[in-house]
Amino acid sequence: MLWAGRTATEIATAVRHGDVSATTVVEEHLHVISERDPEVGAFRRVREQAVEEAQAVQKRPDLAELPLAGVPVAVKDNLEVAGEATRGGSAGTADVPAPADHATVARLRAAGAVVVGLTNLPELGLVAFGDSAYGIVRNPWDRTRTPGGSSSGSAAAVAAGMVPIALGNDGMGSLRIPAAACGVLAVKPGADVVPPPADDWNRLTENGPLATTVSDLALTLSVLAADPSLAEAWRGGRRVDPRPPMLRSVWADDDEVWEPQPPPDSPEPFDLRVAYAPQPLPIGLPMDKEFQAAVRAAAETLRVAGHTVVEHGHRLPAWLGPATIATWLSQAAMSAAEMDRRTVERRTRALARAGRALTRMKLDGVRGRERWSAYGADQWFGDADVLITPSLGTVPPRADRWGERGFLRNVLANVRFAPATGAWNMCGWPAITVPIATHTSGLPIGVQLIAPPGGEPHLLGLAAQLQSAHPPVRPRGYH
Amino acid sequence: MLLAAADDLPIAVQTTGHGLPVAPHGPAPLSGSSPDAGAISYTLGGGGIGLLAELKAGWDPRNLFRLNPA
Repeated sequence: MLWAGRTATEIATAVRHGDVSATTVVEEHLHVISERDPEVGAFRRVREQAVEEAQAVQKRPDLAELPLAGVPVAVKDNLEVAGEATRGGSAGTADVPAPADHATVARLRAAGAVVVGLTNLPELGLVAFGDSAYGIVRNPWDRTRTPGGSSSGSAAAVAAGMVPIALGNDGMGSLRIPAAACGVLAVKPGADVVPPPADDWNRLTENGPLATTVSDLALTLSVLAADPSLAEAWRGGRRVDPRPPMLRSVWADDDEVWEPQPPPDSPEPFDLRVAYAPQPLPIGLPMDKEFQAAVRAAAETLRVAGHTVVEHGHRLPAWLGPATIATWLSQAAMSAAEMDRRTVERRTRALARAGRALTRMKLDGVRGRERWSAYGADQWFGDADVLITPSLGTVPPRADRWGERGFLRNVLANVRFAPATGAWNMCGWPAITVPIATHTSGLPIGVQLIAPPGGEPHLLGLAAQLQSAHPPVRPRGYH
Repeated sequence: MLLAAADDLPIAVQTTGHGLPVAPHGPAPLSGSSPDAGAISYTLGGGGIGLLAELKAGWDPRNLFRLNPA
């Protein structure tokens, strides 16, 4: 039996039960990566030592209790993996092995996952494309197009079936943008749910998982958050404390053994107030009409599932766009501040230069962010539990050397392609993207679901209902 | 530029797998429109939000945005 292409939940269950060894699972995934990655370019580094690490997992005395037993995972190359350099998509970063795992990587490994490789991203994760000094990541649905970014390789690796789950992070949409572009799921948690990266862009950035099914996404999120009550939250849109407790070997100190429930035919019904905004962007920013139609379709699916659905007629405030761009550029300047400018790409230099100029003029977006975060988002959002919007503004642009291009082309292409995600970093609210349709271009369409703080269970529950009605589709050639 | 292209694309929705009412015999006439316009009702029942996608003359049924089929 081939294990590449199976879900993390299926793999972990089989490894726990002894139906397959972690070693076999990892070897098969490494083989698939060797076949597929030359044309996708998702990985900056593939880790052959993953086989030995899988053997070590297989020998763990707590193997039968590990939620991610033997599950291959790809990690974005801006999160520390012990013994590996963290290059951040840049030739200018130090080629020095990290002394220890980032907390999120450590949690994945404690849960039984095996890191099979580090995924490529645009330099310092500054943009929504997938090219860096380590190559161009290509979209498995159409390799002439970008997979989006900045968790570019992580999304492409999951979409191409090279790993069932991956780890990335999102400071202006960097999980949701590539996930939507590649037809997979991703969730940006709210603040203080998952340990953030070391450079978290002044709390804009959260780490989070990518997956092909909501149950995999919820399980991985629960491991990253060290919160077992999220693992089954997709079933009914609420936290569920697994009984007996999951993750006993990692976080609990009792002797009970956790076993996942068999998946039901469909998620349980629950009732939320769901708003939908097919065109939420400030005046002047266009939105693809098919993406708008997908939002209406998602709303209708959730109405049929029993939710109270209302149209959200307001567009995001005009001041939020400039504030978001100013925040992005000033954070880019800070990220690039310690780099030797001769070693970074033309685009990084240009974005940082603009960010420094804006910061000097005190146009760094701080006041706009405070206003949006303190009360603006709450007022605009209204009394809904969850809001549905498109995840992207257009289908992905060409996969190209965007890093060698200048300021204007990069900023315009970014804003046009990915205008719908940054608002929710500006206020720190959780958001998820769910693939539900296929665009006439042949590329996938994702819809974004947003909730006020603490709403991750609602997002997972609604995503499960959407995915149940509109199951995931794999790109041709990557089954 | 992509947007300009997208603006010209016809939009319609296929069955959702929920057994929702979908026009059974292809595009139904859109009342009040010219005879060469048609529409697929995503749903018309239950006071729902509905998606009435206007289809242009020369619409090609192969040229659809597709919801992932259940």
